[in-house]
Formats: sequence, C-alpha cells, structure tokens
Amino acid sequence: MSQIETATPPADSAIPKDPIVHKSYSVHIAIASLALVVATVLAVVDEGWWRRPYKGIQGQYRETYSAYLGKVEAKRRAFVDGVLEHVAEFEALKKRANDAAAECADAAATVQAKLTTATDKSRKLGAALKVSKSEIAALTYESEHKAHADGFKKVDESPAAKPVVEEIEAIRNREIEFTWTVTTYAGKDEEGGAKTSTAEETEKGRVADLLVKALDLEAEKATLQNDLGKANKPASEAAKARDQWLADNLGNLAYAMTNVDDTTRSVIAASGAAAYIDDDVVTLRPKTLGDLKAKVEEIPTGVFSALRGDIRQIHIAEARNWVDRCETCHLNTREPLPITVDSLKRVLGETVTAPPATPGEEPTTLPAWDASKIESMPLALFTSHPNVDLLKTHDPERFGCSMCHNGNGVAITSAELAHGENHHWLQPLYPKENVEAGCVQCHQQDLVLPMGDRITAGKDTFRRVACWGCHRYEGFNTELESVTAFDGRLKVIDEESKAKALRRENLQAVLNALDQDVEAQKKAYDRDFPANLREREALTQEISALAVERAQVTKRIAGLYVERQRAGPNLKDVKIKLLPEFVTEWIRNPREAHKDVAGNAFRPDTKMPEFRWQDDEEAKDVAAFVHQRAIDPSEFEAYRLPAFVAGDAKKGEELFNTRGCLACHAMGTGTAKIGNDYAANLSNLGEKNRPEYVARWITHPRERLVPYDLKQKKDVAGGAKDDPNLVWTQHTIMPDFRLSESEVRDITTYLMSQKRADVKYEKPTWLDDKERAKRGEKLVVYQGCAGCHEIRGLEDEKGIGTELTKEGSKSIDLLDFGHLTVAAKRGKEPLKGVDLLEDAEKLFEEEHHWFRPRNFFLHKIAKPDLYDESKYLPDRFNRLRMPQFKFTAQEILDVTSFVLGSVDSQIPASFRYDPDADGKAIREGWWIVKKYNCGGCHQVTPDEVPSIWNTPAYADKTDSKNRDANLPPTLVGVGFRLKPDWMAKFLRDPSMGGGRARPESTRAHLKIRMPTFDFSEEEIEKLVLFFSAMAKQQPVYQPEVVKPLEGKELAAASAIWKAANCMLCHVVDGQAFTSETKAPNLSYAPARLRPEWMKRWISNPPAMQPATAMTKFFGEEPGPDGKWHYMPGSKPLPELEGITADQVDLMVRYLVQGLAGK
Amino acid sequence: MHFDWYQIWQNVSLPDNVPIVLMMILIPYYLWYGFREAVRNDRLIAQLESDPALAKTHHRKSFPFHPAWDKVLHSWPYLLRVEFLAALIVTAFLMIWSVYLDAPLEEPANPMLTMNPAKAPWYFLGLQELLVYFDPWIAGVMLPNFIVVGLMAIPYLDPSPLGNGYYTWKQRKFAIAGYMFGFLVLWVLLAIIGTLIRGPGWMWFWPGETWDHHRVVHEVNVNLHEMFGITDPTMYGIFGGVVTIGVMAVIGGAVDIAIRKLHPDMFRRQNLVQYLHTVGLVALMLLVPVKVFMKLALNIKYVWVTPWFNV
Repeated sequence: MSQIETATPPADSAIPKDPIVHKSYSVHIAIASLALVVATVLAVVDEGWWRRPYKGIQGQYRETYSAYLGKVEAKRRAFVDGVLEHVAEFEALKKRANDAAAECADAAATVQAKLTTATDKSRKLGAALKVSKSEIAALTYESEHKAHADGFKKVDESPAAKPVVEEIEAIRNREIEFTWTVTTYAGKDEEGGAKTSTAEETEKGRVADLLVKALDLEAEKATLQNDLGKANKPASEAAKARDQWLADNLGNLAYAMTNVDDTTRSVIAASGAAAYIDDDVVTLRPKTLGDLKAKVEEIPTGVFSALRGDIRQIHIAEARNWVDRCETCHLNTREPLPITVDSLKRVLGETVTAPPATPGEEPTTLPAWDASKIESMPLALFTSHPNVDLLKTHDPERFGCSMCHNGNGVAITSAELAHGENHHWLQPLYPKENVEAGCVQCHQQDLVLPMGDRITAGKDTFRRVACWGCHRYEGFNTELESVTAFDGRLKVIDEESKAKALRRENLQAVLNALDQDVEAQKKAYDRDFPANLREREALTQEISALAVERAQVTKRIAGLYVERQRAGPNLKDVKIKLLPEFVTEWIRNPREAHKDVAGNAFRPDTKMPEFRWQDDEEAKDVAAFVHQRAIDPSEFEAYRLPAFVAGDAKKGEELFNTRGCLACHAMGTGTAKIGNDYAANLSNLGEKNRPEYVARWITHPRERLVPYDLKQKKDVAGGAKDDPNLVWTQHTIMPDFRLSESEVRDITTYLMSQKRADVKYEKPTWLDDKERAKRGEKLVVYQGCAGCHEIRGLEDEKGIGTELTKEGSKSIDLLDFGHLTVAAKRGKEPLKGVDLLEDAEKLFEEEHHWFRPRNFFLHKIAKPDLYDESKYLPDRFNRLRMPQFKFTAQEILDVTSFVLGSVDSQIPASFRYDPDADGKAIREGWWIVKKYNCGGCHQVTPDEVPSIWNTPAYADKTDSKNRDANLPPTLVGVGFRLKPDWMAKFLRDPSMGGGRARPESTRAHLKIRMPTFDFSEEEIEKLVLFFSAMAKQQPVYQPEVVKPLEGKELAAASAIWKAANCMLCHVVDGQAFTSETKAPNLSYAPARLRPEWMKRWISNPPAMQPATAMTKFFGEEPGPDGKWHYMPGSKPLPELEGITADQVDLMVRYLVQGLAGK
Repeated sequence: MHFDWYQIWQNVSLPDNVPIVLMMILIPYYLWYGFREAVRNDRLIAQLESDPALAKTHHRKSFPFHPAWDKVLHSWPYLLRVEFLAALIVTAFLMIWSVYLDAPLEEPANPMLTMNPAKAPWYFLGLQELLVYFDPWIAGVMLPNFIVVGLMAIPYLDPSPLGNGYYTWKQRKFAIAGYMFGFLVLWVLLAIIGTLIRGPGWMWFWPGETWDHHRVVHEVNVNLHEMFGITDPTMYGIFGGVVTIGVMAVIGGAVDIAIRKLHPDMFRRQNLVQYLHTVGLVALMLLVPVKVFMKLALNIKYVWVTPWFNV
C-alpha cells in the first residue's frame, strides 16, 4: 500500500500540496478558451463563406462580367460607333442637329432666363408667405370651430368667432416684403454657352394680395415651360432624328461599310471592324450596356461579399409558393445578350483598346486575361439561357426554373443540393443531354414541339420503332381502348332506348284506353292526359336522339378500326406472302439473318428488334407456330391469288423511283441506299416474297383478303363492306397509289428481281411440327409478338410492357436495377467496353455513379436485358422480355428524355399548356401527319426537307425552276390556299372520283402521285383543321362573295389570260399536259382555291412561295391608285383601256367564274 | 465474397452513425478508467478501514489522497473550475463537429415510399432492434416504460449513499453489474447492432458484407408451440402461458437465490416491497436476452400466442 506514506501526519513542511486545491488550471483554461475562439471563428467563416458558395461566385461574376462588358463597350465604341460616324447620312444628321441647336440657342436661352426668374420669384414668395399662411390656416379652423360651437352659425354671423375673424383679417392686411433674383440672358460666351446677368429685386405688399400673386406666378411658370419646349423644338427634333438613325443602324456594320467613301472604307477595314459584323454583342445600345455594367458593379466584392450576399429568387405564389433561387449563381440567365462560354472566353482573352470617352484624351487599353485566370472562373454559370425565344413563351418570372429543369430550386448551399443530386430528391436536375425531358410534363400529347428538337426526335423514335406495341402510352395506339369505351356507350344507349321505348308503349296504351273511354277521358283529362301526351312526345324525341347518337358512335368505331395501326405486317398472310425458308432465320435475329458470302445480311436496317432466343430451336418453334397459325389458301377462296404474270422490270424501276414509293421505303444498302427508313427497306425482296402477293398488296394495301369478324373473333370468308362487325381494313398505313394493272405488274417484277445471287436458304423441315407450334405459341405470347403483328387467335392480346405514360414519376427505388444496384451506386459502369449496336458505346465510356432514373432508362434502352445480369434464371419465362433495338447514342438519349419526362406533373394546372382551338387542332393534326408520313413528300413546315427530295430521281429538281414541275406542292400555308371542303374531298379521294382509270386530279403532270390513304372521317376533319390552324385561318370558312364578270371587264380579263399565256404552265379539264406544264389544273380553281388567297398569289407569287415557277405578271407593287395593273411584255393591251378595277381582282373573278369554254 | 471496406466506410462515416462509432471507442475507455479508479479506491478504503484511527477521522476515500489533506472540499471553486474547463472543451468540440458534420437531414419525405432500411435516430436504434424480437406492444411500449420506471425506482430500492463522489466497485457490485448489463448489453449493444449490422430489409449483415437490397435470406420464423406441433388455439395459449410464466418463475427464483447468496446486505436492508420490485426488474432485464437468443439462434417468433397479446 504505497499510497499511504505513514499513519501519522508528518511535519508541515513535508506535507505535499493537495493537487485538487493547489493545482492551477490557468493554462488549461487558456488553451480551451483559445480553442473555443478558434471554433467560433470557424463557425463564422463557415456561415459566412463556406456555406454560401454563391457569395464567392457573385464576386467572380462581378469581376468576370464587368471586365467582359467593359471590353464589349470599348469594342462597340471603337468599331461600331467609329464606323457609323463615317457614314455621310449620319454626318448630315449630326450636322443638322448641331445647327438646329445653335439656331434656337438664343431664343431658348431667353425663355430659360425668364423661367429661371419666375421660378426663383415663386420660390421666394412662397417662403415669405409661409408663416402667414400657417397662421391663417390655424385661425380659420379656430373660427369655424367656434362658430359651430355657437349653435352651428355661419362664421361671419357668429359673435364667438368674431375676434378670431378679426385676427385673420389683421394678418391678411399685414405688409410683407420679399426679394428675388432676376436672370437676364446676355448672349453667348466664348465657349458657346449662355451668358447671363443677375440682379436683385424687391417687392412689398399685403398678404392677401401676395397670396393671389403666388397663384399667378405658378401659371406664368407653366406658360414659360411650354415656351421653352417650343423654342427648343427644332433642336430636339433634329437630335431625335440623329439618335433614331443611330438606334436603327447600330450594329449594321455591313450597311455602314458600303456607305462610306473608299478612303474611309480602307481606314475602317484596317481597324478590324469587319470582324464584328456578325457579333451580336456589339450591337447593344450604349445605355443598355451602361445599365448592365452598373447593375453588375452593385455586387459587393472582397470581405463585404460575406456580409451582403444577394439571394436572387423567383417566387410564384400561384404555384403553391414555388421558390427558385437558381439565379443566385446562374447570374446571367436572363441577360439580353447572347453569352456563351466561348464568347466569354473569346472577349476576355482579347486585348481591347478603347477610344477615349471624350475627345483629346488618351485611349485606354483593356488587357487580355491570361488563360489560367479565365479557366479559374466558373464561366458556365455566367452564360445566358441558350434559347431566348423559349423564355419568351415561358417567362421565368412566371414559371421559375425548376418547373422545367427540375432540381431543388430552394437550395443554395452547394451545386449538388441545388441540382437535387441527392439520393432521395424526387426531381433531380435533368442533365444537359436530357434537358428537353422537362417539356413532356405539359406537352405530352404534342408530337412536334417547334423549339424542342430533341424531344420531338425522341417521340418520333418512340413512334417509329413502335415502343407503343408493347408499352401503353396515352395517345399512342389507343384505338382499341376507345373502341371499348364506345362499345360501353353503345350498351348504355341500347338499354336507355329500350327503357324509353317501353315507357312510351305503356303511355301509349294508357292514352289509347282513354281514347276509347270518353267518360274516363273526361275525368282524367285535367289530371293526366296532357302530361302523358307531353311525356310521350318527349320520349319519342329522346329515342330518336339516341338512335342518331348510336349511328354516330357506330361510325366512329368503324373509323377507329380504320385508324388502327400495327407496326409489323399481318402474320395471317405469311403463307401466301413469304417463302417458307425465309421465316426461321429472320425470327432468330432479323438484322443478322440470311447473310451472303460477303457477310451482308438480308436487311440489316430493319426496325424489327432482336429477341434473344435461347437457341435456334426456339426460333424454329416460333416459326412453326407462325406458319401453322397463318391462313392457308385452302381455307378461303380469296387466299388463292391468281398466278403472277411478269411485266417490265425496267419500267417498274422507273415507276418505283418516281411514283413516291421512296418517300417511305428504302432501296439498296450501305452507300447505295436511297429512300426513307419510314417503311421497310425493299432490297432483296425477291428472296423473300411471292410475286402474286406483292402485286395484290400494291393494288389494295389497306384491304384485307378476308374480313375479320369482331363478334365471332375470327376471319370469315366475306360479307358486306359496311357491316360494323367486319373489319376490312388492313392495319397498315401503306396507301393506294391507284396504279394500273400493268404498272403494278412492272413494279412487282422489278421488286422481285431484287435478290442476291450467293445466298443459301435452308429448306425448313420443322414448320409443320405440331409440338413445335405449341411451344412456339407460348414463346410468341411471352415475347409479345402480337404487340406489333396481327396473329390469328391473338388479335386481342394486350401489350406486354409496363405503361410508360407516367414512368418518369417512378422513384428510383421502384426501378429494378437488379444485381446492379450496388454497382450503380458505387459508380461501376457495366456497359463500359461492351460491344453495343451503332455508336451507343460512347454513352457508357466512363465510370460514374449512375443510380438515377435517367441512367436506369439509358442502360435499359441501350441493352434491355442488362438487369438480368448475373441472375440465375433456369426458367426462360422469367427473363426480361424487352428486345434489343438498334439505337444510336442520340436515339437512346432522346427516348430516355421522353420517358424520363413522362411524369405525373406536380405543377399546378394553371401553369400547364392548355391549347386553344388552334393549338388543339395543331396538336391532333401532327399525330396524323406523322403517322402517314406526309413529310416524306410535302413540306409541312417551311424549313423541312421531304425525304423524296433526296432521292436520285428528284435530287436535282428541288430548285425553284423545277420544283413545281416535279415535286408535290408545299403544305405551308395550304390552309389559306384551299377551301376546307375541297381539302376534305381531296384527302378522301385525291383522284376526285377518277379512280384507277383517271388517277390524277389537280396535278396530272407530276410523276409522283398523291395516293389514297383511306383516312377515317375523323382523321380528315382533324387534318383540315390542322392545316387551317397552321395557316392561322379560322376553323369555319366563309368564302368571299365574288361578283361575276361582264362586258368590258370580262373582255379585259380574257385578254390578260391570253396575253399572260396562263395555259403554258397550267392546264384545264380536257386538255393534255405538255412538257411545259408545271402548275395545277385551273378547272378546279373555283371549288378549290380561296379567292382571297388567289388575289395575294396572283399579285406576287414569290412573296408567298419563293420557290415557285409562277412569275409576277402585275409588277412589283400596286400602281399609284392602289390597284394592281397588268404589266404586258411588249405592247399594251387595248382591252385594258378604261378599266378602273383592280386587274388582279379581275383575274380572280375570271377564274372563279369557271373556265368552261374559255 | 471479399471484405467490403467501402461498405464499412459508408456506414461509419454517415453523420448519423458517427456518435455510435465514437461511443464504441469512448465507452470501453471510460469503463477501463472507471474500474482502474475504483480498484485503487477500493484498496485505499480497505486500508483506511483497517486502521481504526484513519477510519474514524478521514472521510476522503479517493485519490488523490494524503492523510493530512482536508477531509472535505468545497465544490466552488474546486469542482466547478474543472467543470468549466470541461464545458469549454465540449463546446469547442461540438462547434467544430457541427461545422464539419451536418445533421443527417434528408429531402422532404415521400409518403408513397418508405426508405430501406428505415432507421430511427441513433439513440433509439436499440429500441428499434427490440422490435425484431418482441411484439410491438412489448418492444415499443412495455419495455421502454419498464426502463423509465425502473430507473426512477432505483433511489427508492437502493438508498445506500455508498459510492457518492468516488469510484468504487466493492461497495456497489450489484448496482454496477446491473447497470452495466442494462446499459451496455441491452442498450449500447443493440444500438450498435441496429446501426452497423442491420442493413436493407433489416437483415443481418456482418461487418464487411455488402448491403445488397436484393439479398434473399431463408429465415422462416415459427412460434414455439408450432415446434411442438400444437395447433389448437386454446391448447397453445395454455402451453405458451405455462412456458412463459415457468421461465419467468425460474429466472425470478434464480435472481432471488443469487441476491440472498451474493448480496445478503441488500436482502437484509430491503423491505418486502422493495425486494420484490428489485427481483422483478432484474428478472425482466434478464428475460430480454433470453428472447433475443431464441429469435436469433432458433428463429422462434413468439413463445406465447393469444388473441390479445403475443410474447
């Protein structure tokens, strides 16, 4: 027990000190206090700077942007203003302004001196009267108050108020004195300024008089002010003209350069100004630039930035107090000048010499920033929004940022948090490549967005490769759902009609009984009879209304079966369409099937995806099923097609290339490929098809050989075309080109001649194996083949995929990453180095954290079976089913954007796009325009290039000289050109009743031909409304009344008609077209064209359609009388003498009258 | 499977889990420190008490010690100045902590989606862990109430002033052992399991195993009576009751014997009410790990199943 030294207390000197009592903690406390101080400083720094990264950014912004603006301003002054000052016109204006200013200087200065005097006098008088006025006001109140207290007497009559009134009068009679300065204009001084002399003046008077004088002085001031304006008017107007010119021409360097004399031009050229001709930035007004600079320089710098950080936020009360603070860091988003990282880099990296602000001083040099300084700035934060036009319709003040872009608009402590890049945030920022995903929430049903190229492309891909075959998506392939809804309505109608009919019969019986029993009738009359009668009448009307509705609904259902489309061909026809040896390998892997010795596949660019069968046996099973399920010729007479008689392949090729087949189909592979990928590539068709089927198909593409009976759910031998239970329409969009029998034969012969010599086809022995077919059916159902193909017995099969309409709303935890969850979270890229189709690999070159919905879709679309990775799936019916499509990197990104953006939007309804009638017509019309590929032949929007323009037959005919003679007309403005009823009639039957015998109507001279699409009535209506909305026309058309021509006017019009030689390019009924013909048949004009369009067109065709062959016959503009006059080539037409009417108007009336016999 | 250091780092570096990691270091240290002091003091006490003179006169029974030093010291300034120093250090430490480790707040909750694993704050993870072993009513309501009530009852069950102001083991063996069992085993250990061992799906992941959301384990829980093939509800109600009450009786008896044998002083000091409460609370405390063992080792879900409650 060493702790205890001794049992008895030792001497005091030996006792050690008790550490608890005597130990000093000063040093400990000092250190701990210091630590606390350090911690406090740390906390302040953390709060002031570290947690507020935007403060530093705003400092950098100030530095960068003010330097940028300074240089822009200097450049603008050096190059633009400098150049403009050399233009004679501007110099004249400047001189005029200076002269005018000099001229009216005297008069103005005189008035100004008077005004100064009057102002000073008024001011001094006011000051002198101040005390008296105040006293009077107070006493007046007192007098009134006393008079009131004195029994509501008038002030003059109240004895109580009398002393006060006397006091007021005393003040009013008080004499006061005031002094003011009189300014007199005394001519110009040496520098041209106004010289003035001043003198003091004094006046004395009674307060009462001076009060009146003060009012007079105010009036005098106003008059003088007005006089000053008048005196200055010539000067200010001249200055305004000068400034206006500058404003109008600022930045118009090209103009300036052409309007100076040669010497000046060479001076300008040497200054390098020409380099700025295209620079938008230098065109800014000096004031705008100044304002921007002043604004940016308000941002505090240095240590003050911590005290005064500026959170810039958009607050939208209407949207549940939506707050976006993005602009706290993205400081230039709404800047009026286009600022990109490149433009910032370029301008900052330049040395700019600024001309002096006032003449005579030294020019200043703004030095170039070195590269490392430029790199150190977060320039991407200082760019302006790349699409200014988009912001015009989506004002950030109303929509904020995160409504479209997602992210966490409130957060500002770090970029990750603000962008919502944390695990549980449900709306992480859309990455740059998918930024247009944000459009979908409001524009889900708009197939085409004018400012959203990528999302439009995404939707296009989704539609083109038929994702909708398996995945339900609102708007795509929903005809059958509509049919179900309408069928339900039919049932309701039938039940209601039955109930109402019964009720009516009962009423009738009562009425009949009363009719016979007169006595009873008399008794009952007052009570029941009229009411019963009325009810019976009402029921009759209701029943008939229901019958009308029933007819409409039935018609609509039939229309829906017409509209229904399937992405793949009808497999019921396989036996009569295909050679049996073709099928199996195609099913196994369409893109790789049937390679020739050189390794080229039969159709490498097919849309049909690869299904990843386990082995070749499965492909054989499926082939056996498809083969056995197809309709056998022995079943139906219609399936025994007549033998094919070969035609002329050469002619067929010519027809194939010119009639318009290539607007949708392609021919050839690799570099030799021509045409469009919209429909199948028809190369090597002879290896696959039977000619008699091809011929039948071309002749009647949209008509089945035998109808499908909806009631019995099977194909039947025949029936009435208008039987609502029979579907006669083939679910394809291939139109009927109204080809003659020999044309069909030639084209078929040509197509059948397309085959490779060196391909071996294996004779299939397995196609009739019943066991295989049984296994095959299971596979076909599991893989969802019926989503794209019509298969007997599987007509009503639903798509096998998950619905995608709201897929983007699925939170990350609901997306099944399978065994890749951990890999995704830890940034391991499973597709790195994996051989993908097309260029899709480049999307997956880097390892990065990809546990995000966007990346889920990206991976899924690129390699649909990815999430089966390292799973043990002995049962093949547990595997992922989505087949492998052949997508490019861009297509993957675009489709991802579309799916990612398909969300159940959190934005209030008042912020979503709610189109008006026109918008709706455009929205719905695009679906049809896209579905039938109108853009394959026609321009629907101005800058579009129809694919037919790129085929060899037409590539050299797209210029204005040849276009009218060879190519289909543009559809831009067609809603203004054509009458709606004509348009509907034309869409229903472009041959206008001519059929196969006379297959053309308005443009017989074209080799390419508008086919018959067999639109449903609803589609026609939507198309007509679409085109009229696109041309900004009213949906209801009221044609202008056109007076017929008579006498002299008729003769004049006829003379013009002949002189202009209209018939050189146009034709009329009964006249054959010639090699010169390039314009429509004018016999149709009265029914077809809108007179108001004709007027504008005839007067100046190129103004409406720059690429037209039609020339201006009526000069450049109307004559001095405001009317158009015919401009004859050589000698004037005598018939036109004395004609006062507008001569274009005459021609319109002439055409509308009809050309029969002219 | 390789040892997943990344997972370990993720778990221990999560701001929410840092206190647990700190606790795993600090608790053993203070345990060691306290016991070292206690042992020294106990020796000192033994020595002082063996000397009648010192035993009578000297009350300072802890280190630093000198027979000549004051027997009693004022708390001001001698205690408070040390406490002030501690306050300074802790304040500075907490400020620095709060600058570098943010509160683990997450994004707005999504009512449509439960996070996985969904964990309580670290100080409640022990209770959450108990939910694995007990009916929610027992784990969530009954046991916490026993803890609170039991802690409140301690001064009334054991009013001995021994050990006030100094570390000692010998004088407070029962109290210290009981407290250490309750705190270290039933609270801290469960919290550590809940923090570092329980992963997605509240599955048991040993350190170094990857927390895989897709892991599937074969873990079919059975009730005790099912192991014995009893299917009739009345019968298994009675069976469970007999087993439960039997086990409680056995453990209660064991506690009773242990106290009489090992801690006769306390048995003598306490009246009947105090004694029964002591035995009851200790027995309950010991019953918890019994059930934990049954669940973890034998996959037994409930011992006693009735329509009203399950044990």
